[in-house]
Amino acid sequence: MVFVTGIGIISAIGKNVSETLSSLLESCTGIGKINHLQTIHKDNYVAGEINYSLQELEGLGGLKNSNYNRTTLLSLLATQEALASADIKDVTAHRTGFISASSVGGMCHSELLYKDFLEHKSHENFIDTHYTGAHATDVAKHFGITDCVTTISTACSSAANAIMLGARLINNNILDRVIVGGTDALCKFTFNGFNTLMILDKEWCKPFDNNRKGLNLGEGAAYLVLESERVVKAENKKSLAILSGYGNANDAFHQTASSPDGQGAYAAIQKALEVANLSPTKIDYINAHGTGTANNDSSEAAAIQSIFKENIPPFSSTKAFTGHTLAAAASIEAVITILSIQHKAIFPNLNCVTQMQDTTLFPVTSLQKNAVLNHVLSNSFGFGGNCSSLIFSKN
Amino acid sequence: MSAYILSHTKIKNNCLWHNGKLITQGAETVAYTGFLEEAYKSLNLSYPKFFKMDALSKLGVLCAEQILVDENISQFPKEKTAIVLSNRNSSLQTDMAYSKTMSGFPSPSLFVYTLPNIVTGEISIKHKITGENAFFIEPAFNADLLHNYTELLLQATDAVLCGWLNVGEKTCEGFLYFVAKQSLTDEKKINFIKHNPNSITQLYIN
Amino acid sequence: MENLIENLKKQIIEQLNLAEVKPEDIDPSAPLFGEGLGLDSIDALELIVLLEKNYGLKIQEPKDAKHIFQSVKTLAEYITSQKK
Repeated sequence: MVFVTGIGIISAIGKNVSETLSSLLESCTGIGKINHLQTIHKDNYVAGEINYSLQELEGLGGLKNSNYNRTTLLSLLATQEALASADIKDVTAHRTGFISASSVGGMCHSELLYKDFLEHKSHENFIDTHYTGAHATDVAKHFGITDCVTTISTACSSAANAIMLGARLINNNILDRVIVGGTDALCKFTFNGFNTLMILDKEWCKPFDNNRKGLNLGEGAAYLVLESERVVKAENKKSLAILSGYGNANDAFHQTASSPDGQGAYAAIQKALEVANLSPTKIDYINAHGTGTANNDSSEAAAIQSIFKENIPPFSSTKAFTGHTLAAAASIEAVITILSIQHKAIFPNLNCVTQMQDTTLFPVTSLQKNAVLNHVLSNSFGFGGNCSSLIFSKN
Repeated sequence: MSAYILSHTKIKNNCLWHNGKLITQGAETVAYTGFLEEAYKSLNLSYPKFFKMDALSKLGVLCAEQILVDENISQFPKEKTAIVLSNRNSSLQTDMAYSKTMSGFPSPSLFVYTLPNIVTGEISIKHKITGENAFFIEPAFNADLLHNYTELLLQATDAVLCGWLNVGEKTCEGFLYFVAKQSLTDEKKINFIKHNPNSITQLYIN
Repeated sequence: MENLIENLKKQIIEQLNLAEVKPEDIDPSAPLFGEGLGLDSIDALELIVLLEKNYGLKIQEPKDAKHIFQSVKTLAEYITSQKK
């Protein structure tokens, strides 16, 4: 069994778990004007930007002139909180790993500095931090984690795959403890690219709404501390939730679009249920991928309909709170799922008004308290057809 | 868990090998991008989407082709075949190519390939493989990581296509191999290689 | 119009990396999507880029472009209509 003993998070809705929870309970979105990212799209789009400059983020971590880029700093801050939350004082006390996910890596820095570098050879440090795995190496080193460090990069399902790998390493007695999750900072490259694919909404996104126009980008990082049953018992630890199921499958349809009937999503959810040894009727709530694009929300709804048939559990996408945080999305939403379970609350799918024409499904649109949440499914589907689902259960 | 490597391919220095046999070779003076297209033609692939792909995806699709059409391999159920790939450079070459278009007319078809795992998607689409897939970013080829992860996956799946696909400015390197559970392989057939980090490394360096 | 159609064929082949297709292979009235050339959603986005880059015509919503991108002929007709 794999226990979640700690969580850490930073996103547009809060710099830590406590602020995140407040925003969720107050239906307070983090999507708004872009203040820090210097993109040509700044005045035309909204995003889930974390309202701290690079220096301010360093300050939050008690650092100065660290040379860490924004992706790395976000990772560091969330990892710091996760370790504290799990009450880990000595990372070497048990076999401990760090598995992190990113799509942006050091691009947030490189795109600003490479022209200067080409002309004046200044800011050489950024070259070493461009590589996607650099953030994981830097953060693991910062906290003294050495037993297993790797980086996963599978687009928007990355962090879920990091969480899955962590669980497998514990279940197979390769590690006792692993910090898993992902990080991505907003950057011009990504903004520009998603704009080129014409899947951004200039206004606040509307996941699962019939009039949805696309997604809002977001940034952030979140990590879970997963520990084995042996360590939890030995240290008499309190666990926040159990990671009871996980599944991954390839949609094998298109590089960036999901199949209309959501085959990959269906297979991933199915596998997660099998690992958890649960029938679909046992799922009390789904934290959906729900990006707000025409394609994803239809495809995901079709998959949910196929698996759950007449017993569709309540579901919501929380991306209208945080934006789509890309490689960090699955871990940010895993933390939100765990908060759901802990506080018996279903956080709303904000900004959804009109039911989609091609389905009878409609999400939860206002906060539901006193919800019975024994088992919660969390979906994350990435470009490249990479579909992942996680199931968290109440302890 | 006992497992075997049933088939492997390699692309390096404008040569494509399958199970140690040279399949096609391009002139050393030709850029690797040209070689990849020549190799496609010499294999008679008849897959027009190939030309829309970036170099990383072309490399992966070519390396995967020889393995996946092999009669020993095609018997494995597609939904129980996983794909685990890795590299160091992620999608850097395509990131740079896309970046150049940003100041003029950003190219959506280039942006599609600015993620390393799109190559897993392309292989999956071409061969209808719907099992698990992962992509690791590592500083260098890591036989231990691939071996250990594959062994974990084989607890729940029948076979795994694994390897390293790295594309740089002047060179590219592809090494893919197919692993299956011992219980599902007919050991009397050909020379199957035992799946362990040492044999993987030997295949990679030779 | 015929000149435009011939130019468009070459531009489409180049923009969309249709390496194995020659201009004479493309029937101007044949569907571009689905059957015919079998283009997909990303190709549609590249056609939007082509229109802006080569003809200065901007399409804001991909959904609006469906009828314009039906065939090379409809694309040529659209370009001609905008030039007036």
